[in-house]
Amino acid sequence: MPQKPKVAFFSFTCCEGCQLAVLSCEDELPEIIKDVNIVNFREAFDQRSEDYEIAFIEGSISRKDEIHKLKKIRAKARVVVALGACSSTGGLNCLKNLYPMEFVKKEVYGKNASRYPRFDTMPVKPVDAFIHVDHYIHGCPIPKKEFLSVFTSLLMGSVPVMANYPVCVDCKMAGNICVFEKGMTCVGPVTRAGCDAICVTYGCVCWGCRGFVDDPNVASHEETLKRYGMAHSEVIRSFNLYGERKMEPKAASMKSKTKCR
Amino acid sequence: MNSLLNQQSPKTDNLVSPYLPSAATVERVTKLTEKERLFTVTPLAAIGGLPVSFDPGQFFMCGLPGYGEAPFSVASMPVNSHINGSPKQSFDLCIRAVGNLSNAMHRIKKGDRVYLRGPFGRGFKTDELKGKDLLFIAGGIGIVPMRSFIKSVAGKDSYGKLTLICGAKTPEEILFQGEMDEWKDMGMDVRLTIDKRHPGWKGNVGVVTTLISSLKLKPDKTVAAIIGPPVMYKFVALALRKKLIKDASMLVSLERRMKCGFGKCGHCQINSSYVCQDGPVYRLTDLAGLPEAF
Amino acid sequence: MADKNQYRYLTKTGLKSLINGLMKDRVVYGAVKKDGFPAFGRITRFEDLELSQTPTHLSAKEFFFPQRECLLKFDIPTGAHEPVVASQGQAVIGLHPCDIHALNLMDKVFAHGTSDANYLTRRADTVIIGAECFPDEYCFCSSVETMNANAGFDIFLHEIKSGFLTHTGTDAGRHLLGKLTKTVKASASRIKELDRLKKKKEGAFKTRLNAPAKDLPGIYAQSSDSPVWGKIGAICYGCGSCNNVCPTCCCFDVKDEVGANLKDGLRVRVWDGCTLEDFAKVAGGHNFRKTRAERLRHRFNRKFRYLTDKFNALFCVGCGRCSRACLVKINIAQVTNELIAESTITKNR
Repeated sequence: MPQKPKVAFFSFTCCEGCQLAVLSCEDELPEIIKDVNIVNFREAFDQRSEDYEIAFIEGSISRKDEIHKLKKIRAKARVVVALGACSSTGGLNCLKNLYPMEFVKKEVYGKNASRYPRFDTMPVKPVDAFIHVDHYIHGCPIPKKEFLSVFTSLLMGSVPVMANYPVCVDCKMAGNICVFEKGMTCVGPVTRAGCDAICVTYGCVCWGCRGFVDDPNVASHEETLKRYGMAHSEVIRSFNLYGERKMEPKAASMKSKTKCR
Repeated sequence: MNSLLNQQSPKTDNLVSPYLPSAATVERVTKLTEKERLFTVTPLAAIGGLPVSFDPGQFFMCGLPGYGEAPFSVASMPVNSHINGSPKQSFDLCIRAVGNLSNAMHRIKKGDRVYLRGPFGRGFKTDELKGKDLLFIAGGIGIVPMRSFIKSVAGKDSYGKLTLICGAKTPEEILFQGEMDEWKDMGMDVRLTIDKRHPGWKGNVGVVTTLISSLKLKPDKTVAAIIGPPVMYKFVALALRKKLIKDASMLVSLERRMKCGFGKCGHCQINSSYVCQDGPVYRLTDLAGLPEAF
Repeated sequence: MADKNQYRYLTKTGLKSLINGLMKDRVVYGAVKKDGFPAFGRITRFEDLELSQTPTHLSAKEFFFPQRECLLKFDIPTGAHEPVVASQGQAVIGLHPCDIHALNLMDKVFAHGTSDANYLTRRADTVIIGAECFPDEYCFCSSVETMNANAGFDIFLHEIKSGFLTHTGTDAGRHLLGKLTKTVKASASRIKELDRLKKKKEGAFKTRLNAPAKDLPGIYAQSSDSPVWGKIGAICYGCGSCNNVCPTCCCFDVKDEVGANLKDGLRVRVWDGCTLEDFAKVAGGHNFRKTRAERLRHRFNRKFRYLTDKFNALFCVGCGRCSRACLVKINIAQVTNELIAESTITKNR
């Protein structure tokens, strides 16, 4: 049996809810600890190590000093996994990017905020804006099931398989009535599934916390949202709640997907 | 059309799960290239009848617990052997490491087990081809299923002239070059080509079609078997038609995603045809109504 | 005209006895209301059952071909594989004629060639009670000959003012009616009421196909290069909703799930859909149907052409669920009518 792989968890700008989701795998954690050595996990214990192979990174990057710390992790880890929406798409933190940074600082830390370097801030970015990320676990927070599946895949020497279809698939499989039928709107048709459509199942709508599916038909969904009474600005806002999603130019996206061979 | 009168619920007595695989022992692992390995496997118990029996070009669903299953064409015919005193049969599967399962396969060693279901599909019907000149055209790993076909006819008097055209990107990627020398010794005309100039390569450079024009073929007597990447088929068929080979005399083997092997999962469907049942080997004329074939 | 001998009258209380009787030794599913919409769900009290005139949100296929099911259990260290064919005595109540036709089609697929033990065992363990319906604006079963079901159910319920007229499709159904409840011979006036209702239903279709069902495979065969595919491909999400709500879509993916101990695991099958991007993608990365247009063309042809030769039936039962579920308003009947309009088959008639 080869040596147990060393696993570390790191947090950047976030609520640390995804680490909490990992901790909520109570039934599986005893087994997991048999498989690996967890060397860094702030929410679970205080010991620290700089020696690890697999790094799970939660949180987005919102300060310059975080970039340095992030690059150091990449240099040490053989495998980097982005854990959760903040890390993989920028997450809710990206809402900050809608405002000038000086304004944001003053709103949060008061009018003298600029005097103190510790309040330094920058537009929020996902971790893959700075380093190569090997695998992503999406969601706000991450689904337990997906964490376990990525974890076991890595230990089995497999490449974790990420769902590449819209939330509608999970939502239909869950037997949910479509939120559009119930007079609401959502961004599920362009958002990556893998969450079992948990928000819709419990009566909410899909806010798109898992980012776009590989080939989203954004232009088409923009039309749908407008048909259901949303203004253009509202449409953009609903797409961008969990990170700045690149909106394809409408014409291009419509055209490229229409050809039949 | 939908009137299904007198429909009864289907019978379910003695139904067994068609998804249960049978174990096979890996007798030998041969590294062919960085990406391809040849596995010689011996089923522990009867699969697909005892003795193990299949046509060249058929495929097995091969799996490892935890890594799933995928279809792999047979790379040889069954060979009789004696293991620990009892008669066994073994055959070859050649696996390119491209996904989780195939990468896991590359980590297994002699004596390990793999799990098989099959054989599935239609292969090359060698009996029907007796007396014919056979032209094998293989691109890339198309040579793998072709090898089972070649091995079942090479050196036998009942077939006419045998010619192999085999192409790959680089010289290293031409698989089974050692065996090709043996096939030459058995009288086969073997012609190789690589896509681009390569240091040390003295043979032909260009796609497989570049070798077809110089062939002397008897249109009425020749049957061509074509296996390669999807883009290859159309051009090879065009080149062969110029040589007056009829579509009915061209056999192709197609690759598709498969999950069951027996016409249920829907992944391998090409228009109205299921590759796992009607293929993977088709006569080109059978593909006339299947525009999605390639 | 309804054959009066095949019907027996069942009161609403009589239905209650039947359902309560079934619940004693079976798990009962049936038409319910979910968030105010018709759907199938578990019935634990007779009052849960709300027979719907219009189609349920999802079809009843999940009771035979669940969204996710285990096919095998395996143990990685020993390599042991154990097949799982899970089934329970169950009853499904409230399938409309289109749903019953769809079930008959699924039976054919899963029994064709190698039998699928998982599906067929569940099917054999299920009591099917059908119920009459009334079309909404998406229904077009009258155009695909699935408006009435003659087989594929144990008991069928026609709701009339005072109760139900039942007819039975199997001996098991006759036996259940006799054992669990009481029916009486249907009176002539009640049969007349049923005939009136049937006529009303026939006249109520707002959606119709503009060609006879038998011409549809030929019409689709001519449609490969139609501009319709590009048009609907442009707006399609590739979200698979049409596949998932369809009562005859039964393609699946198979994958392995490994426990956190890295030792035991399950080989499971889950619903898959031909409109999803990766459906026809092979391990090397080549995608045999890259565009949404190609994938939609495949799905539509699977409903109207590809399987007709093998199974001698259309695979669209006209339930309209895919049109109803499609957020970009791709309507299977409209698309088919556009293809009919382009085709030479109808023009030459």
